[in-house]
Amino acid sequence: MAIIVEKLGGNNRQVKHFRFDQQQISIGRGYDNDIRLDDPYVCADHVLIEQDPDSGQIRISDKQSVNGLRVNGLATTQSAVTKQDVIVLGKTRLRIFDSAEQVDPALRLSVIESRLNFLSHWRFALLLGFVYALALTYQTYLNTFVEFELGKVLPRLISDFLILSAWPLLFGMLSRLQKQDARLASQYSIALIMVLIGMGLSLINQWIQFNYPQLPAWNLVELSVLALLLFVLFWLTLLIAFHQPTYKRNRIALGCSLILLSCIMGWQQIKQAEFTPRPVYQFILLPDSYALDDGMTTDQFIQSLQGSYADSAANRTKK
Amino acid sequence: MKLMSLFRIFIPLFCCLSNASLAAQENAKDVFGHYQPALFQIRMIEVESGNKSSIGSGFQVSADGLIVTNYHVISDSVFYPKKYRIEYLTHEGETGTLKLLHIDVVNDLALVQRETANAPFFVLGENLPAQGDNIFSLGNPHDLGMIVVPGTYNGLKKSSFNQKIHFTGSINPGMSGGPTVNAYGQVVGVNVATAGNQIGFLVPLAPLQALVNRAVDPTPDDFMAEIQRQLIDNQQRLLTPFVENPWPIATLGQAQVAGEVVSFLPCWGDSNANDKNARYLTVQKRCRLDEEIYLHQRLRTGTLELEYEWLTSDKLSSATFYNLYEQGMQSAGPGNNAGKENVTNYSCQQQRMANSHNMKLRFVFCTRAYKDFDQLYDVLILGASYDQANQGLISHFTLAGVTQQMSQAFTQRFVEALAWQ
Repeated sequence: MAIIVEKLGGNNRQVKHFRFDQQQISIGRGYDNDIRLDDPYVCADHVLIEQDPDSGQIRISDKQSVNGLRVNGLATTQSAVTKQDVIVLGKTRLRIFDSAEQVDPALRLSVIESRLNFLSHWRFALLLGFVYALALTYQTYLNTFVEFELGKVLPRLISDFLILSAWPLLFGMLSRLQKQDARLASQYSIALIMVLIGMGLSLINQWIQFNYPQLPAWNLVELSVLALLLFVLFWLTLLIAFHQPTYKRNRIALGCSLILLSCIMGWQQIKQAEFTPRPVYQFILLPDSYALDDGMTTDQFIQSLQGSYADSAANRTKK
Repeated sequence: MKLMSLFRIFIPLFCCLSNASLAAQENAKDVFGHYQPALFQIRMIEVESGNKSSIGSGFQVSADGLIVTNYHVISDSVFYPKKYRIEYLTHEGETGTLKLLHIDVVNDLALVQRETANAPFFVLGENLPAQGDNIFSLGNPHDLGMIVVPGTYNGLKKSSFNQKIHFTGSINPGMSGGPTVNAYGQVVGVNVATAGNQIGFLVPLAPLQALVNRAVDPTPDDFMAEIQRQLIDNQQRLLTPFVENPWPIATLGQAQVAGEVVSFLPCWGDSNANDKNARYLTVQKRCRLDEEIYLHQRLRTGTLELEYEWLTSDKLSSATFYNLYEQGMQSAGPGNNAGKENVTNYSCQQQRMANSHNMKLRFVFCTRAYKDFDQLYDVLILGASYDQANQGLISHFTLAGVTQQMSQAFTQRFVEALAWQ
C-alpha cells in the first residue's frame, strides 16, 4: 500500500509520477514538503494527504491556503479522492490514488506494424522519392510543348517535394510532442506510396473514362476510391505516429476521411448549383492504341444526344 | 509617281463631296421641318420609380397613331411587362402611353400605337434607293433632341442572312428606331445598329412593310410565345440548307472539313506556320454568322459558329502531342450572351464514335435550355479525332436558339462532314 501522486498535463496525461510509502504526505511550494510544486499560485503549505492504513482510503485536506483546493472543479477544504478525481492546486493538476489500483491491460502490437518494418528504412524512402521524382519529370516532359530542359523541371520537383513533406513532417512533429519517435522515414514512405498509388489510379481512371465516357454514377465510384485512399493514408499515418488502441485509430481515420470527402462533395454540389455561362466538362483524349473499340456509329451517337436535351430541359424548372 | 496620281484622284473627289453635302443640308432641313411632328422619342418607364430607364426613337406611319420603333428599344416591356411601360415624347414635349401591337425580333422591329387621330405621319417608300443616293437618318442620339444625319445608301449588306441596308453616316445610341428617309421624305429603312466609323445599318423596307401590314391582325396574347414562334421560324430558314443535303467538303491540312454550305457564313483562316519556335503546326478555319438576334439586354440568340483546327507535329512524341491536343479541348464556350434568368447551366455528355468515313472521334456535346422558351436550346459540340498518332482534327460548332430536332439533324451533318484525305 502506497500513495501515488501524478502530476497531469493539459489533456490529463501524466507528466510526473511520485510514489510514497508513508501514510502522510504534504504538498506545497515550501522546501519542506514531500512534493514541492513550482507554481506561484500554490502556498508554501498547501494541502495534506493522509491514507487510512486499514481501508487504504486517501483523504486530502486544505491547509488554509490562499487559492484553496478544488476536486473535479468543486472548491472543498477536505475530501476523499480516488483515481477518477482531478485535484487542482493553484494552476497545478494532480491525481492521487492508492498503488493497489489496477492498470489497463497491455495493447497488442498490430500485426501490420511488424509487417511495415521495411518502411522505416531511409533507403526505401529514398527509393520511393526517386520513383516519384522520375514520375513527375516524365509527366512534365509529356506536357512540355517547347524544347524540354531538365533544369526547368527542378524548381517544380522541389516545390512538389516540399508540399508533400508537409504531411510526414506534421505527423512526425505531433508524435514528438507525444514524447515518441518521429519515425520520419516511415512517414515519408507512406506519403510517397499513397501519392504514387494516387497517380496510378488517376491514369487508370483516365483510360476508363476515355473508353466509357458515360459510365453511370462514375463520380460516386471515384469518390469512394478517393475516400478509401484517404482512409488508408490516415490509418497508416496514425499507426506510425501514435500509440493508440485499434478501435480509436479506426474511428479517427474514418472520421477524418469522411470529413474530407463531405467537403469535396459539398464543393461539387455548390459548383453544380451555381450558374455558369460556360459548359463544365473535362475532356479526355488518348491515342487510338488505348481505345478498346470503335465506339458508336453516327446514328447511335445522334440518338444518345437526346439525354443532354432531356437533362437541360429538366433543369428549366429547377430554381 | 504613285503619290501624284493619288492626289489627282483626291482633288476632284473632295469637290464632289462638298457639293453633295451642301445639297444634302438643304434637303435635310426640309425633311426635318416637315416631319418633326411624326418623330418621337420612345422611352421605357420603370413603373416603380416613374423615370425613364432607356430611350430610343420612333416614327408614326399612319394617321391613327401606329408607330414603328426597334424591338430592342422596347424589349424590357416584353420580358418584364409589370416593371416597365412604354411612353412617347413628342418634339413639343407631350408624353403619352403606347400600346404594344406587334414585334419582329428577327429584324428588330416593333409596332406600337398611340391614341390620336389625323396626326402627320411618314409614308413608306415603294422601293429601295439606288446605290449612292442621299438618304437621311432621323433620331434622338444620347437624348440630345431630334436630329437629322445625312448619309449615303450603299446597298444591302453583302452576304447577310437577315438583310440590312448599309448606310454610310453615323447612327448613334438613341437613334435606334428612328426612320431613314429618301429625298422625298419616304421611309426606306429603320435605324438599327452601327459598326463605328460612319458605317450604320438599317432594317430595309420589306420587313418594315410586312410589320405595318400586320397592324390589322389581332395583337398576340402572349408575346413570349410569339418570340419563340419567330425564332423557330428563323432557325428553320437558317438551318434548312445545312440539314437538307450532305455538306460540301473543303480541305484543312490533311483533313477534310465542311466547305461553303451557305453564302452568308463568312469564314476566316489562320495558322502558326510563321512561328519558328513552335514544335507543332496548327491550321484553323473559323466561320461565324456575323449577326445575332437581340432578345433583351442579357440574352442574344440566333448565332451560328463553325470552327475547325488541324494540328500536327513531327517533333513531339505521340504522347506529348496528345497532351497538347487534349489541352486544346478544354475551353469550349457559347457563341451568344445569356444570363442566369434566361438559360439553364449546360448539360454535357462525352461519347466516342466513328463516322461513315471511318474517322474515329471523341465528342463532348452540351446543351442548355431557355427558361422562357420551352422548345429552344443553345447547343455546342467539340470533337477530336483520335485515330492518327501525330495529327488531329478539332471540330466545333455552336448554335443558339434552336430546337432539339433541328440541332440534332445539324449535328448529324456536321459529324458526317469530317474525314481524312
